[in-house]
Order: sequence, then structure tokens, then C-alpha cells
Amino acid sequence: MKKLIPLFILLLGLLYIGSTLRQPEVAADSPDHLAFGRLPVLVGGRIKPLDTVARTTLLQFQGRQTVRLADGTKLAPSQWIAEVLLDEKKANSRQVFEIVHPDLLALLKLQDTDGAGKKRFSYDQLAPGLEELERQAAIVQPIEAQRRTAFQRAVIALRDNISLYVRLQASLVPPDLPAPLEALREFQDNLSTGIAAVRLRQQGQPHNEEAAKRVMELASRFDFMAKNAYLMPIPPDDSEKDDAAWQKTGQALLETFQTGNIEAHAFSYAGLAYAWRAQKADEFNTIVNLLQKEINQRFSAQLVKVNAEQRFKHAAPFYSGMVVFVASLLLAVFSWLRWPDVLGRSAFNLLALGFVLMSAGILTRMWLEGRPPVTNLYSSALFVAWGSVGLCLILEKIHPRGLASAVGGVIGFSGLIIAHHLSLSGDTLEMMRAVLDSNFWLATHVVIITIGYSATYLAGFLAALYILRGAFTRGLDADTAGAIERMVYGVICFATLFSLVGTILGGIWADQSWGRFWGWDPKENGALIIVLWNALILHVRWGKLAGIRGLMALAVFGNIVTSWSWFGTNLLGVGLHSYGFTDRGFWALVFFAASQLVLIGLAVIPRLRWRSGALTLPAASR
Amino acid sequence: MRELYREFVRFFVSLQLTVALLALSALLVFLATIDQVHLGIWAVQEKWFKSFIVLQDFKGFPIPIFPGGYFIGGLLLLNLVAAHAKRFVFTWKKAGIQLVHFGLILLLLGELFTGLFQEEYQMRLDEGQTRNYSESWRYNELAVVDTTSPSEDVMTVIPEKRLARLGAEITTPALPFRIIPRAYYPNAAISTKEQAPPMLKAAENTSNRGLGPRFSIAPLAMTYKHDQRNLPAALVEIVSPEGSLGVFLVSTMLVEPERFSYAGREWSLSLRFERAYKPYALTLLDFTHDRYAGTDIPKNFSSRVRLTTPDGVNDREVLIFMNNPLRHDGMTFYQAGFDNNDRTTVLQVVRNPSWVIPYISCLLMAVGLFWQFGWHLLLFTARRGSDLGQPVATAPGAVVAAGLVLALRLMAGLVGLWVTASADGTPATIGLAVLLAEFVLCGALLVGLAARRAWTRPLLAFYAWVSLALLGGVIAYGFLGGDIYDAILRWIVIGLHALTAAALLALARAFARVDVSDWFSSRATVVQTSQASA
Repeated sequence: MKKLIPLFILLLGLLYIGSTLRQPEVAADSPDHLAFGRLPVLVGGRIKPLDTVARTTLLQFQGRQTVRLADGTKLAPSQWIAEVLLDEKKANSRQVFEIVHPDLLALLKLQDTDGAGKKRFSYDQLAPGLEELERQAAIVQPIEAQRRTAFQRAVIALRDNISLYVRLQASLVPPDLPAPLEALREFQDNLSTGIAAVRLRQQGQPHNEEAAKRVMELASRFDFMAKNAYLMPIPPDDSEKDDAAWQKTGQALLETFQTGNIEAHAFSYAGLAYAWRAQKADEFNTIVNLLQKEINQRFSAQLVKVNAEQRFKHAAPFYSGMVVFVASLLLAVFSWLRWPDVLGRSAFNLLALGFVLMSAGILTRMWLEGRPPVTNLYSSALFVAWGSVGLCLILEKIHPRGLASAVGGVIGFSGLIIAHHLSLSGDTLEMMRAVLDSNFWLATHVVIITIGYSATYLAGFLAALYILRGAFTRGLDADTAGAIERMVYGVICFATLFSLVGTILGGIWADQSWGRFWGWDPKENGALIIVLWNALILHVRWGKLAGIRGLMALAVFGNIVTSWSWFGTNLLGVGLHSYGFTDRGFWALVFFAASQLVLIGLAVIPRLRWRSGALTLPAASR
Repeated sequence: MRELYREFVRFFVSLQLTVALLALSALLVFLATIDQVHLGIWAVQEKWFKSFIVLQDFKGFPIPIFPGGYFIGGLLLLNLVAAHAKRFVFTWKKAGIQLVHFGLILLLLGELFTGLFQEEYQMRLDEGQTRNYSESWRYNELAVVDTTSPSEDVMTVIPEKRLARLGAEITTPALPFRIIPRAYYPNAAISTKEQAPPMLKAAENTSNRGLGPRFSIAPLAMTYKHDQRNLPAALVEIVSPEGSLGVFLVSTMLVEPERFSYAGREWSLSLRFERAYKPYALTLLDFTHDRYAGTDIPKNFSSRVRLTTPDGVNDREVLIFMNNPLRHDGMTFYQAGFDNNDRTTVLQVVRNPSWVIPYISCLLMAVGLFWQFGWHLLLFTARRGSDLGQPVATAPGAVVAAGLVLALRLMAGLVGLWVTASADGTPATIGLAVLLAEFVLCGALLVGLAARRAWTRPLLAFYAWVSLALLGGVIAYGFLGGDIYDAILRWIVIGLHALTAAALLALARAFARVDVSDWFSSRATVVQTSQASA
């Protein structure tokens, strides 16, 4: 019976992951917002589903993907984006803008109690203060981004979010119209009269005042849409060769003045707005289906990816991964106390499950993007965690003691948490800048150097485990200590190999592309420091210059070194590799470094003060 | 005395010194990186790496704060060389690590040579413009040009630093007059007196000839930012044997040179970015810059240029774009930037005679590392089996070792493919097919090893022979296949293939010597692989 427990746990994990794959259903008599969320648009240089636009925007506004209403119900991302694009009145009342800086709240004359969760506010609530916000932003704008204060950063962030929101609203239907469909229909019907009236007016002759005014008012709205809209939702027609030649709705509407007919997609979007506002499910769903079918004729290949992306985002494998890794960690820790075999194997199974899940997620991202796994900071966090977990699986196979499983759980979980925080800045599947656009080097240099990070972290966390168990528990016996010691040494060798090879490949890339093997760019320097540090540990060990706890302390310091190279260099805001980073990240980094220093402090207190003190010495003292 | 000498040697070969220097260099790199917030990369290199002592300006006084890059790097080099010279004994077991360190020595030397000999210039070209010189990004020069002849100019250039020595006469047989610097500003804004910005304090302008008196000179602080350059200005007096010809204002901000005539010849005088003339010319035909649809993210930028030499031997069009520079005459032209609403291209022009050294040292280090770690892993595998005397039911070490070799093998294939991919058609297709086949083979082997299937051994042997055959193919193609390989790449590809083929053969041999009759049925021991291979 006991033998079946690991299998049972694995099954449980599989069931849990299976449950995330299930698509939610929309009640038959309400508009199918999920289908709406699958409609493709061109934004940020690639075709993506509206659902992704909704999720990344919400993450950027408020750090989470769903909108919680006052009565406790939740709006799905696709529901929210439908409101924003089709029913602005309602969307303006949704509390989605997170503001935490007290001075900014005061500036906007808001109390934190006015907001949902004491920090999220609606556009309607912010509207009275927008003029003042704009004035403040104009003052802050000339200051270099790195030199801004927290308040100034908050001002700019809110201003950018609001402007993104307004641009979004101008994407599908003309803003500020009570009935866009009616307005467009009337516009088309009376186009010739309207244009004639405008011409006469320009010539200073008697004209139909009313008609001219109406046409000009609409035209200025179209113009606003053409200039400011965030999304490009009108696909090019069959004669267009360039697949990226999508248009903004405003452009298509302005073309009506030449063609005399409103472009079909633009008209459909107005129809959607009508059906959504009136909650007419049948009409809404019919139009969405027609649009899907029509776009599918020419963009079927892209739509496969668009649909897959929507499913992928919904299943959120990296969120379920966190749960799996925590479970694995807990099981592994308990295995040190009781039933080492059963719980140990259960932990291993879950870790393997988490690894498979992450691999699937990373592979999906690679397929969606058509790129090697690491293309930005976000994907590097995923890959670092993935690499460490993979190494832990191997280590656990070699030394089945639940040690590597526990560390794998910790690193997997933290990597995913870090990735989540990095995803708050926008779409994580972004286009590559020309400088970095080389799949060969992304596949070799970047991947190898990232594995180097993984291994250095792994060594550091294993060493931390050694120190924690040794100092606070009586669980670090000679066998366990020996096993961890060997693992740390092996992993550091591995880390040295990969970070050295990766750094050198980076040099070759730089030489091929910029004519210099080494340019002392901050990120290059970071990689170099990791290599130097790992080499230092190896030399200390070979020269027997430090005892075992000294080595562990050095390995823990490797965590600080790697974190600095990985994130700290981005904080500097200089060089080719700087991708931008927040001050929240800075404090997280400082906190992490401090915690590692505490661990190092624990390592240097005398062995006899450790609870495992004498136990770590093997029977035949070395 | 002898004791002292021994002590001395002991210090320089000691591992403690290595560790201390490694720690110091990590710290040096860290501090230098932090300093980049205030200084540009170029200034940081000069201050931290290309120096023996790092001097920090503290209220106007340079205070030494840290040993510089040359100091630490030099000691490290000395330490490495001394330690290996003293302790060097050749054994197969240590060959890998020795190779790594030898590569490292070469890398350090290579960086030193690069620092000493590399020249970097920029070439700015507007569309349609032709230039036969590039310009320095850092240095300036005073150019005195004899423009009398309609067909050619005779240039005399004086380095900027001579202008800093005020009052010191500059004489040269090439010029019939002397030049005396009267004032020098390393960075200054020049504007007409009416438009002079009121917040800048102007220096005294003593110029009395040409356009100079119309301008106001406002000295500025030197800039060290990586994207800004200093624009110096100077007041120079031209003195002929007959007497002064006047004081001229020169500045890199002034586009038009000052002109005067003396002794029946026409002269022009200007302070300009230091130029490096070339025996060939580049014409920018077209610059293109694509952005991703609906964004400002650059997708690619490229310059179509025509390369011509006066002798007519070269007259061809070249496309320079990111990651694809033009190499000609020991120079390399990289796409560095653009300007002027996408009508001007900025090319980085680099001459680095020691550029191959890093490649060679990298190859040495790669070979050494794989040798060392491969050796250890094999040993580890064997030891795990034999000294426990236990069933090698889970011999993950063997799988890991094999996996490492196979991964390396795939990397060799990948590099080969990358090289061939730059040629069109067949080579790339064949390369891809071979790579895919190898990928499948490696996968099968890994699965077989992990699941301990009996067919793994013959398959491994087969693969080893195939890899030898492929090596032959690569060598043949490398030498007969023509222009897609440049010399270095050819050796890298061949080297990687040779290395991995050797590793595969060793692996196959190791497995052949192991008594695996029962191993694959999961209940036997590995017999003394360690001894066999040692």
C-alpha cells in the first residue's frame, strides 16, 4: 500500500494540472466573451489575441489578471477587454488602476478608502484629477528615468497607464458615442450630402449646417482613432503582400471618405458594441464567429498560434507550477523526518512533474515566438528555474535523500515568483531588437550562460541547506553532510564550465557583431564575475584553503554574485543589455543579499555552536 | 639570499595568491561596473582596467583607491605562468586543466594586445556621400591644409594635445610658419555673440582674423558619457618670419575652416575629428531601417555601400547590417547606428591585429574543460560502480557522461550548420539532415543508456565510427568547399568535430571494456574502468 503513495501523489498532481487545462464555459444566453478574447489584433509588432492584450494590460495596471467587483464576483480578462473596447461607460467604472503612493492619492484628491482593496481606482474616479496629473507628468518628463523619485515614478506610471487605457478605448469603435452603430450607419447613408455640405461650407456658400457639423465631428473622432488607437484590428485584404500591414480602425473609417463604404471589419466592431451593450447574445456571437471565419481565410496559420496562446494564458502553467513546487518542497522536508523513502519518492515525482510542466510551458512559448528559450529577463527567470530543477532531478537520482528535491522545490517556486513580478511590465512575448536578433547566438550564448546562472544558484541553495540544517537541526549527520558537499562541488564544476563557455561565446558574438571581443559592458562584467567567483571557489578547494563550512559560505555568496549579475546590472540602466527594472526589484535584491549574508554569518560561527555540530564529523574523522 | 629568493618564488607560485587575485579582480570588475553610472564605458576602461593604480578624483586630488586592471591582470598572469612553470608535469589526468590555464594565459595576453593595438574609428555617411577616411570618436587634430593646387591638398596635422601647451611653438619643416597655441578649451560651446546663451560664462576671445571675432566661446565641463563627445576649441596664432598673421579661433563645432594666404599659397586651418585615411572609398547607396509594425522597436537596419579603390581592383556593392560586418583590408566595418531621419548611417570601423588570439585561446580552453570534466565524470561513474562493489543498477554517472559527450557532439554539429547556413542550398540542407539524424541517434542512445538496453553498446560503437567518417567529410569540405569557411571557423568546426569524435570513441571503448553482460540486465559491476582508462 505504502508503495503506491508516490504514484498516487503523482496522479493527484496530474489531475490538478489537467483541471487547469479545462476551458471555462460561458452561459448560452450571454455574449461569448471568450470567443471575443480569441479575436486577433496586431499590436507590439505581432498578431495576438485580445485576451493577451487584456491580461498584460491588467497586469500592468494592477498586478493581477482579473477584475474583482465590489460584490465579490470576478470579471475574466476577456470580459474586461470587451467592456473597454465596446462599452466604455461601464469600463470607466471598473476599479483597475492601482495607486499606492500616498502623495499621488492626495494629488488626485482621493482617499485610499475610496478604492477597491484600498488601492484600485476607476477611470471615473480619476477623471477630475487628470489635468493635474498631466501637469505633474510634464514637470517630471525631462528628468532621467533613473533619477526620478518614487513619487515621480508613480506619476509617470499612472499617466502612462491612463494614456494606454484611453488609446485602448479608441481601438474598435469611435469613443464617446452613445450608439456607435447607429452613428456609422447614418454617416454612411448621408455621406454624399454631408460631404457636399462640407465642401460648400469651405467655399463659404450656403449649406446644410447640421449635416456638415455632424460629418466633421465624426471625422475628427476617426482622426483621433487613427492617430491614437493602441490596437490594429483591421486585417489587410487579399491583395496585400505584407502580413504585418494591419490597420487601425480609425484609418479604415477615414478611408470611407474615398470609398463611400464603411470597411466591413470596422462596421462589425460597431455591431459588436451594439450587441454587447444591449447584451444580445445571439447577435454578438454570430458577429464574432463571422469575424473569426473571415480572418481565418487568410491568417489561418497565425490564428492557430493566437488560439493556442489564449489557451496557454488561460491554463497558466507557470502558476500551477508554483503549487507543484511548493508541494514537492514540503514533501521533501517531511521526508527528512519520517518515511524517507515514500515521501522522498513522492517529492521527486512532483518535482519531475513540475519540470515537465515548465518544459511544456517554455516549449510553447518558444513555438509561439519562434525563438530560442531566453529572449528577455522574464524568460531568463523561467529558464534559470527550469535549469536548476533539471539539475536537481539528476542530483536526486544520484543521492536520493530528498535534499535536491527540496532545493529544487525552493528554486522552482522562487524562479516562478520572480518571473511573475517581471511579467508586470507588459507583454512577455515581445519582439527582439535588431541588435539581439540572431537566433544562433540566442540559442548558444544566452542559453549556456543562463544554465550557468542556474547551476551557481543551485550550488548556493544547496550550501544554504547545509548551513541551515547544520545550525538549527540535528539532521545534518556525516552522511548527509558528505552528500551535500559532493553535490555542491559537482555543481560548482558544472557552473564554472557553463558560465565560462557562455561568457566566451558572448565574447565571440560581440567580436562578430561589434568588432570587440570584450567591451566591459555591465552584463558582460556580471558574467565575468560569476566565472571568477566559481573559479575562486574551485581554487580554494583544490588548495584546501578553507574548511567545509568556509566553502559553503563561499557558495552561498555565489547567490549574491549571481543575483547581482542577473538583475543588479539592469539597475544601472547603462549598457547594451539593460532592459529596465523597478525599484521594487532593487529592494528585493537588497533583502535577498542581506539574507544570504546572515547565512554566511551562521556558517562562520564555531562548529560546536551548531546543533548538528559534532555530528557532521564522520566516524573516522577526516 | 637564497632563502629570500625561495620565499619570493613561493609567493608568486602560491595558490593563495591566485585566490586573492581572483577575489580582487572580481571586486575590481564590480566596482568598475558601478562606476559606469557616472562615467562612460570608455572612461571607465581607462580609469579601472587600463591602469596600474585606480585614481579617484577627490576634491581635485587624485587619490589611489584600488589596484588597477594592469596590476591585477599582470600579477595574475605572472602567478599563472610561474605556477605552471614550476609545477608543470605532464599527465593525461592534468592535461585538461593545464590546457585551460594555457588558454587563459593566452586570453589575458590577447586582451593586453587588443588594449594596446586596437584602433576604433567611426564613419558617418549620408546617402550618396563618398568618403575615404574614418573619424576618431575620441581624438581631435588641428589640420593645416595647403589648398593651392586644384588637384590635391597637402595636409599637415597636429595632435590636439599639443594645443594644450599654451605658448609652446609648434614648428615643422612642412610649414613655412610657426603655430602658437594661445588658449585651449577641451570642451566648449561656440556661438555667435548675439546668440550666446546668457547662462554660460564666456571666455575671452582674443582672435583677430577670419570669422573668429564674431563668436563667443563658453568653456564647458568635460563629458565622460558614452554617447557624448567633447568638442574642443582653441585660439592659435600663426607667426611667420615676417611677423604675426593673426590669431584664429578653431573648434570642432565650426564646420568651415578658416582660410588665409601666405607666401603665395592658400591655406586652410581647422580643428577636426582625427581622421584615418584609407586607400579605398565607401559610398552609401542606401540606408534602410525597418521597425516592427505599429511599434518603434527596430527590426533591422542595414547600409548598402559601394566599395571602390582608385586602382579599380575593387568596385563592388556590400550590404552591412547587424551581426554582418564588412571586412576589408584588415578593417572591419560594423553597422553601429543611424541619424538624420534614417538618411545617415554610422559605421564603426575597427582594426584589431590580435583578433584571432581570443578565438585560439577559447578553443584551447573549451578542449581543456571538456577533457577535464569528461575525465572526472567517467572516473566518477566507474568508481561509483566498482568501489561500492554494488550493482550499478542506477549508474546515472554513465548516462550523464554520455549525455555530456552527446550534447557536445550536437553543439559541434550546430556550429557546423551555422557556418554552412551562410552558403545557400545544398551544404545547409545536408548539414541540417545530418544534424537531425545525429539528434535522433543521440536521443536513442540516451534513452537506451537510461533504460539500460543491450543495443546501446553496439549503437555507441557505430556512432563513434560514423563520427569519424563525418570528421573526414568535414575536413574534406572544409578544404575543398571553398569560400564559406574563413580560416578560423574552419579550424573551429574541424576541431570540435575531431574532439567530439575522439570523445565518442573513448566512450565507446570505455563501455566496451566494461563487463556489461549483466549491466544491462541491471545486476552487475563495472570492472575497473578507472584502471583501464588510467
